[in-house]
Amino acid sequence: MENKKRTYVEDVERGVYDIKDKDNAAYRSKAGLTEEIIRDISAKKNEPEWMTEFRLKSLAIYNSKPIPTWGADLSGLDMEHIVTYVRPNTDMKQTWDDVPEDIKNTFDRLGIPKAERESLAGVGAQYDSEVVYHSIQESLLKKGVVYTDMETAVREHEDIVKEYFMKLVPPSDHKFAALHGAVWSGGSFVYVPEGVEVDIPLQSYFRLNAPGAGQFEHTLIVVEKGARLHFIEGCSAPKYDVANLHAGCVELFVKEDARLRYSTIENWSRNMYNLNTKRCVVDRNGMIEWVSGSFGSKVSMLYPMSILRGEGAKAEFTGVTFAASGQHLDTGSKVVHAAPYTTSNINTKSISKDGGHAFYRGLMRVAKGAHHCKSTVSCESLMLDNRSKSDTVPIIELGNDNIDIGHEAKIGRISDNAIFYLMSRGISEEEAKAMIVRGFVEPLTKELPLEYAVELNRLINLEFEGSIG
Amino acid sequence: MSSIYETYRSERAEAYGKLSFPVWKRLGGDGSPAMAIAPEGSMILSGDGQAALAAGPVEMLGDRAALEVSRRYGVSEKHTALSEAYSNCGLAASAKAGQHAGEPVHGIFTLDGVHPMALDHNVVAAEAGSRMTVVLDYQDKTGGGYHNGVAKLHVAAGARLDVFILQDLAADSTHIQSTVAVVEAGGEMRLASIDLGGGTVATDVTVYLEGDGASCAINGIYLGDGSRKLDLGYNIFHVGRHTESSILVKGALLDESRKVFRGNLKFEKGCKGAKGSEAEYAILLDERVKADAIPALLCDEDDVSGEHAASAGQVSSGQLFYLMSRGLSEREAKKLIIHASFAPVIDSLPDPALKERIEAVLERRLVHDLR
Repeated sequence: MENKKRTYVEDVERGVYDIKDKDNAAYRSKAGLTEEIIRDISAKKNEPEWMTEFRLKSLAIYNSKPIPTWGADLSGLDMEHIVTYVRPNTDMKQTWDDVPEDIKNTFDRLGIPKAERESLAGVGAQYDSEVVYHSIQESLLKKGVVYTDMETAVREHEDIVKEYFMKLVPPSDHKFAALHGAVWSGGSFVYVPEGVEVDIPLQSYFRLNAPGAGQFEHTLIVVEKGARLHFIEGCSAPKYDVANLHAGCVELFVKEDARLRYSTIENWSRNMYNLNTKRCVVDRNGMIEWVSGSFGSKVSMLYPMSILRGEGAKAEFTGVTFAASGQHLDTGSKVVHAAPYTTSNINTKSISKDGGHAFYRGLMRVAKGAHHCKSTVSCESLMLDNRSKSDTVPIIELGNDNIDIGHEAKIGRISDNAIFYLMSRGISEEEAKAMIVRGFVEPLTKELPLEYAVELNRLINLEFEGSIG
Repeated sequence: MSSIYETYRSERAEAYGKLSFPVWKRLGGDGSPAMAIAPEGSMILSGDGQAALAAGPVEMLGDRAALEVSRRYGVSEKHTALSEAYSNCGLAASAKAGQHAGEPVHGIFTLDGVHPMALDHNVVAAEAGSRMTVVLDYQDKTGGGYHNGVAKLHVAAGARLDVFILQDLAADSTHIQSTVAVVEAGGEMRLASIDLGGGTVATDVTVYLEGDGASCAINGIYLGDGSRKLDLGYNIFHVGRHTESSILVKGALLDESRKVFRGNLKFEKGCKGAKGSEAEYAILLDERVKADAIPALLCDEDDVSGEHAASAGQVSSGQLFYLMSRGLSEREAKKLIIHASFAPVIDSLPDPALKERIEAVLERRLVHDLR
């Protein structure tokens, strides 16, 4: 039996991400979930009455639902001991220099201020449960763009928040949405008024530091008619023994003729349970573009969902999932065509190696009456050894006949034809394979900001000595 | 009835009693019979006299090993136990090693006033190096019938087995069919499934490609009209190395019919060099239809090639235009296009009389549907 040499893909370089800061939190709520804790959290945030009530209602829903048994194994989650609210030692700052030294160090090491200097419009960085730093360029402020933390938004833009908050992902949606509704903390609020085009991306970066803490940030973005926005979200947390939980929520509202691009790199540490819920609703002729890279966490269950509610609405999804040893990444995308003439384009890639388990789970639903819809879904999996698992389960539900739907998926190794073609052009076999694997993830890499793209390429450090098979 | 078969039945009856019917989310209901279990079904067997094989009613089967499948399969455990325990008809056919059976073994199961319920239990084995064709043919004279069938197929090393399962039941009859096949080294199985009838149709074809080089090719066609509901499941397990499989299902849906296609292609760890593909194409002809597809690919082995494709849509407007420009009416053109889609499977039927019969059914239904 020949000894097949394999494509070698280096593990994610976690050095800079796994540095732990001494736990210096100003306040820590008691472990576990009780009404008292919820009221406590709400009081400390100076929230209006309706938000406190909302949290308590969500807690009740949370207690009434069981932990889901489908998808990845969540038995390692110990909800009683995850401290839900940890507030770092600082108030929100306007410039980077005002942020406390140790918190600044963490973000410096992660490259955030550099990113800002390099022409990003505004950066919000979240350290544990509060948004530490926000800034927004003058010109955008003048145009009426609001970019602030979620708590400030609840106080200063109450009407808008009340109209949209957890309407797209209600607490009743699932257990972790209910949990989120009860203990949400931090996150970004972005409001782009009608016709305003934000040419430079806005970026938020989350970090989870205290052992046992859970992240429950809420991102709410409203892009009004004809407006344009690109929003980038990145996350990381250092590795701990205690199970960590991320149950954040992202709600995106794209109005008529508006356009939103939402890019994420999820790079949580290898003991994290990442149970994030992301949903977008698109009105007439609007468009949402998701760019999503999942390569962290111990367990992820993440299915960004697009609801195409207005005629001519469009959704595009480009995603890469990378599951290495000990990881079970159950990710995918959901699209609902709820209006005629809507289109969607889903392109996902997954790589699994060293016993990692990558699972693509997708839903493509066309409602009755949503005629003239077009959709293509393409999912490809690259398995780099036979210790890993790669599964693809797409569900296609069509409610009328006037549609044009195609779905395809491929699992396997690197195409022999592609290698032959490149070699016939004078490229060595090793380099050809390296090019192909880089090309495999290119749809994502090219959409990412530079530092993330570099990270992704570093991740794929290929030493080709022979083919996969 | 052989004593072995009787013992087997009573064991299965005990298991049946402990199970419950499934809850069908997409089809609705649970596929349980609305009538008492009928002690007799109607089966007419032909092609059983050939020297190259041994065939007869399943009750005479004395080989316990052939009855046991010991692997997961079937529309549901309750349904398979139902026909294993209370079978009222069924055939057992076994092709002798190295022999080629020239004529197909043809079992005709009819639902009628006297036999409203067919619980058939069929056991087919192609021994090493043999060749055999089996046709399971389900017909309906009166409507309101219930068919729940089990077919166990075993293909030994280097053998070739061709199976045709066809049904044209009435629009208020139920058709439930659980088929399981185990294919050994170098064995080849071809299965064609023709689902033209039934009001509630639930089928499951599960194939274990266990020996190195084992292969299977599955072709299916289905026609849904009125308010028929179909749930068609196909599961292929690639276990041995260099195994090959292909699933190709084509269908047409009209009126308020609905279908769900489930294709599970599983590559078990160690099945190096395996190749599998599944594809499903549905032609949708009414805005009220519902078409669901879940083409899954589950992979534990990297040295394989797996692909799946699913597409659904109306009749190609280009094709339609071309045919109409040749003088055909829109209705005739649609009929022709659907017919062409189904032709490869119908052409593969082993018996000209069978081919004619199925063509006639299709013609009648399409003329009526595309009025």
